[in-house]
Amino acid sequence: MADTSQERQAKQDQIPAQAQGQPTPAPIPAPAPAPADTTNRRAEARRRHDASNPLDKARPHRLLAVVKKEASFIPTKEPSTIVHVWPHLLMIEFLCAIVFTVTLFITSAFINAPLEDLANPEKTPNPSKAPWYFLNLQELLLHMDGGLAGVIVPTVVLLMIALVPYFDLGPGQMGRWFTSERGKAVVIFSSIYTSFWLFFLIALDVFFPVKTMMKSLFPDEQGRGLLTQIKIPIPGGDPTYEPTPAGMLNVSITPVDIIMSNWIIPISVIIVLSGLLVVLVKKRFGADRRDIFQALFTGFVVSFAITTVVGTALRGYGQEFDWLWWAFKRPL
Amino acid sequence: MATKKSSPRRNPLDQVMQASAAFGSRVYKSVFRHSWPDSARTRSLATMSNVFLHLHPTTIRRASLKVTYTFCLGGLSFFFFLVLTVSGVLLMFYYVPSVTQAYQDIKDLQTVVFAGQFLRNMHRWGAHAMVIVVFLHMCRVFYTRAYRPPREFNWVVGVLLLVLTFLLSFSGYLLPWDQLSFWAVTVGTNIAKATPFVGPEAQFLLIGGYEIGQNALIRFYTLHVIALPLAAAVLIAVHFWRVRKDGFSGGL
Repeated sequence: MADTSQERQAKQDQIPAQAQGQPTPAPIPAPAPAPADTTNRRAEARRRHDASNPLDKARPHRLLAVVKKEASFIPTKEPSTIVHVWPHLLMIEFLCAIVFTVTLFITSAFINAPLEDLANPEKTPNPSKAPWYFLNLQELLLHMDGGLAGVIVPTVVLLMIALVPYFDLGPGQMGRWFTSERGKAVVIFSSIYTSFWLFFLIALDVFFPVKTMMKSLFPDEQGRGLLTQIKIPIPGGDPTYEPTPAGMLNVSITPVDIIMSNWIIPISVIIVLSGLLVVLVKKRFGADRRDIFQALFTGFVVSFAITTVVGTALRGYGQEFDWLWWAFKRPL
Repeated sequence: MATKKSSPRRNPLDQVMQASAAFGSRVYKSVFRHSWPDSARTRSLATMSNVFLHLHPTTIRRASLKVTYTFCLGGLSFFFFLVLTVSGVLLMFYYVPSVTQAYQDIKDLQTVVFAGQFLRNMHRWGAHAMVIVVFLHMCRVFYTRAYRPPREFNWVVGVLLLVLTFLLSFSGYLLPWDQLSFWAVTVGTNIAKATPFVGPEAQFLLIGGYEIGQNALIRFYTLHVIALPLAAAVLIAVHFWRVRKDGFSGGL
């Protein structure tokens, strides 16, 4: 650690002073290979720039050499760590804007935005898909109730994300990617964990659909599942399963197999797998609260990415799973 | 008469040049009020005395300039917002939000209007890019823990801006009035219908009827070109103001 940070400091020292926008100092000759009598001085210089000392960390320079009074140049003040926004920051912003303007121009010159036939409410395309950034929700829709997938899950997730800073109050620094080496390990672990479970669950629901399984659980003589026989009125539920009785507002008489496959199983899976992730990162990495938040947030990001890709590329006619759907290149 | 040779200073051409240089300098000074920023004082003035640049502080820690910390993602989000505003305003000159005319307007834009296809492409790809960049910006801020106090509220504003970005993109999706946009929005608003307790009402509110038609088009258009951009602009102002007050989180 100390070595790499010192190397970085050394690299920053090599940037010509002019580029740093400071008065040009005369070049300080790099120290010659240490003769015996200067060893102490070099050790002294190293001591004075201690990478583990936070005060020294904030200074992007270190003592390279001690020069005699007769030398051509004697530094009178320390190089500043503060620079002017003009031109240093503005130059970066300007370059970034130029690069992305050119990229957008080139993209727009060569790739045309899609335009299909005039809208026709009579002609439903198969499959009908939302814009790509909502296909994650449309993918969830296949595995649970519409209200759960389309409204409750995203709302809860966004609320939890918004509230993170009010609960992440533990010690530790800000301004470092993944906070610590342990944090990085937790993020990598969570990505692998989430990808594994997500692909497993999607595959499971493709080859052994939970909805069908629940319907045929404990069949009677006619082959009708036990759960389909029991019905529970749910206020605010989806009334499409059976018409709402007269006089009742938006109450759905829902068979238990649908309650199981659309509500109870998906919610349990989400809670159990998130809880297991928290337990695992605590046990395996000794994660603190920040790491737990990182694990869960990574779970969200990876789920968002995977469900978006699966919903966009691997769902074909009738939202059936289709390995080759991507080849048809649905327009964005 | 004119026997005496005129000195170079009295040469009329030189006089004109000098006068224009003086005039040009006065104009420059009237706009920028300081000379070219090459000293500490003029560099500070360059950011302080400019309404656009004064979003920045005058000085910054060198360590905060590190591109691999921010990857410019916040700035890029704003950049795409500006690109979409400019290209969107230009598109509005050619587009009428009516179910009988909208599709033909897009066709005309692609075939008749000079650089119309290019304009539309820029708006489309810029919109996709903005969604991606805003999302990545959120990830960057999370993973660098840049939401630490006193920046909690600005993180919340950022989450709201992410939602607004999705809504802006989604509301614009309907406007070309082709099969793609019509059915994508049908699917999208059917999700709203699944809201517990208030689903059908929420969908009715969103599309102004029971199915996508003229009412939905005018609602989405109004949201897309004025209501949501205004809301986003206000929140962006708050977001930037907070960043400016709290300072950059990086390079500590």
